[in-house]
Amino acid sequence: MEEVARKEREKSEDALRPALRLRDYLQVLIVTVSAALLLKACAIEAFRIETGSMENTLLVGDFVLVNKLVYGVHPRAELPFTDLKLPGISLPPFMRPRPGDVIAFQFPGDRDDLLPRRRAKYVKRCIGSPHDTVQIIDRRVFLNGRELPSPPRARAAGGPILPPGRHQQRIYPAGAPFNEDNYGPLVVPGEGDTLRLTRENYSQWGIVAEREGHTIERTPEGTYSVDGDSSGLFRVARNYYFVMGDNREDSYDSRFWGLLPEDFIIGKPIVIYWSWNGTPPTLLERWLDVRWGRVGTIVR
Amino acid sequence: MASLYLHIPFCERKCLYCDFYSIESLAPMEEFLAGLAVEIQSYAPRGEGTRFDTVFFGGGTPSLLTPGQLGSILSRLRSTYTIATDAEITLETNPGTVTPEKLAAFRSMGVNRLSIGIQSFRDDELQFLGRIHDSSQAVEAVRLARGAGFDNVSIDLIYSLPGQTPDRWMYTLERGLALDPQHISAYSLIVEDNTPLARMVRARQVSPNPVEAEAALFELTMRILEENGFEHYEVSNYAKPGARSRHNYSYWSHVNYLGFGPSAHSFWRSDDGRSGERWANVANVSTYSRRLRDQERPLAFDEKVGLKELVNERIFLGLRSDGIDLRRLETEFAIGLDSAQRETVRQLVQESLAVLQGDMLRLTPRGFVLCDEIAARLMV
Repeated sequence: MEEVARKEREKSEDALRPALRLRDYLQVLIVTVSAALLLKACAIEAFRIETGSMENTLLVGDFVLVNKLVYGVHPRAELPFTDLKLPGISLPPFMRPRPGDVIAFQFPGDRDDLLPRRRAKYVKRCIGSPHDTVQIIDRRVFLNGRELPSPPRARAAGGPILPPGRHQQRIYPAGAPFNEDNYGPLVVPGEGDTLRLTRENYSQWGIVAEREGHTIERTPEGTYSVDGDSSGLFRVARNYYFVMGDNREDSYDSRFWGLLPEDFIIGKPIVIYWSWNGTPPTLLERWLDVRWGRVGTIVR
Repeated sequence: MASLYLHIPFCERKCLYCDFYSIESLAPMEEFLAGLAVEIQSYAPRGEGTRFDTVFFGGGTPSLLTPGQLGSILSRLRSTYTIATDAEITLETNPGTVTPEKLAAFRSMGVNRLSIGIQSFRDDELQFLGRIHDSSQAVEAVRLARGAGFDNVSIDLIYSLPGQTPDRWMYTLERGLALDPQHISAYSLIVEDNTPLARMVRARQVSPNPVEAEAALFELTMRILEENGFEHYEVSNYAKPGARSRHNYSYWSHVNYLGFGPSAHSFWRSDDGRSGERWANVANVSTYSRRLRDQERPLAFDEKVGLKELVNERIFLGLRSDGIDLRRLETEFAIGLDSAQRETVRQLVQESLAVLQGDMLRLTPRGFVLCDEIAARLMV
């Protein structure tokens, strides 16, 4: 009798077993996917380099791993220009980008756009951090008056240099007598700075204030009021960075679209984990086209 | 008003995209110059009584001529034809082929306009195009031209290279503007048959830019150059006020012109203006020289141009440049627009592809992008 009961029990357990197995699999899958998503969300993300703007530090076809923890996690970058934070993890930074660091970030938008019209992720080099003065003289970059050594693997620029004082239309700030080869001096703003918006600096700071949510109005006298305050004063809410591509002649960067808010920074590219030379059609040809010499290169 | 064109068919190296006739050897120079002298002389009766206002040395690479060679061509032209004292005399010049001495000599002989073939300020693009110069030589050529006393300098630029982004084209355009030229010709790269570029495209080594990308670059060019004080007076040509190429203008307005040299074209209108003759020389320097030595015309073709063709050309050329003068079209050819054409004009204006200012029908920037299609709709 007992024997029968035991067998019955085993039988019913057998019937349950496949269901249990499925649930196990699902659990593993969910945990794995969540872990991967979490890892991607705030620890590590793979990037494919699409443009030559960082040549020859990074080449088109390089794949890099980006450390997303190092500069903190900013879910706000997913919902820009609002106070709405995405339900997610926000982590304080271990460190801040320093001039010379290669950084990955969300494109903050073209020079005159309040919101970015396209979602794009860029990799550039940090040139100026908050309160730094950036200047470019004949394509040589100066930080607080001292020349910044050119990046170790930067592509040598050979084209003609635009002369100082020659205004380039697409340059930031609009209308400034700057061009990509002779630029600045320009001071990078930082959190807590108080700026006064004037007729002279409107093209430089107006968009910064507007992107931080301030309402700017032009008074009949030609001055500017911020949030109804005719003094034009406003407090900078975020840290900003000035970034440039290593391929100085062929990079769309802070010289053109302006300053990069800290919360748009994704992280720090660490290592090139894969590198195709081109995109030949067949897998075999692609395999022959792998730049093995670049695989494993540390990004610096 | 009339024009003279001289085709100097020699190049150090043939460019990837170029379908103009030229050879990469200077060896036949002597026989070419001898033939050219005979040809210049041979049209003297036709040119009699006509004042020539522009002379254009094209190629090929005319700046490969020595000052002595150019000087003797110019003096033969002056002794054979009536050339206006204020004539515009242009020399196409390639960076890397000129020295200060050479330019000063050209200037002293009466050359007063240089058209410098820069094409790009990016060395990788110049290399791709097969140019012999680099971007620093391009800048240097303009500096030397100014130093030699040329105050009317035009630069040629090429856009819509395979894969060219607006930023890359802006790079060249901005550096071109920084040189303060009086005139800019900005051509989009066309894949012409029988060029190395066409072979590369067939072999799928390069793929031409999509039409939309090319149109975007064209619109960018128009906007930037106009913002910088250039008048857009022909599809590919932009000039500071007063610096339009008078020679180009004569091509677009049915002015008589004589072309000398292999592959050169000529056009001459009948006295009543209602028909014309057009002919072209063979595109082969040895055939050209031999025939002239044998007292033969070195023609590839010679054809009559009828009234209808003249009107169509006027429509086509007018649309490409600063507009069609509808009243002049009527008085000159005694042909008015028919009702279908008038309807087309009305539609063009309605679609903002063209504007009607008085009797002038002009294309808008948007219209320029569709210039060829619009011309096809209007031609009789």
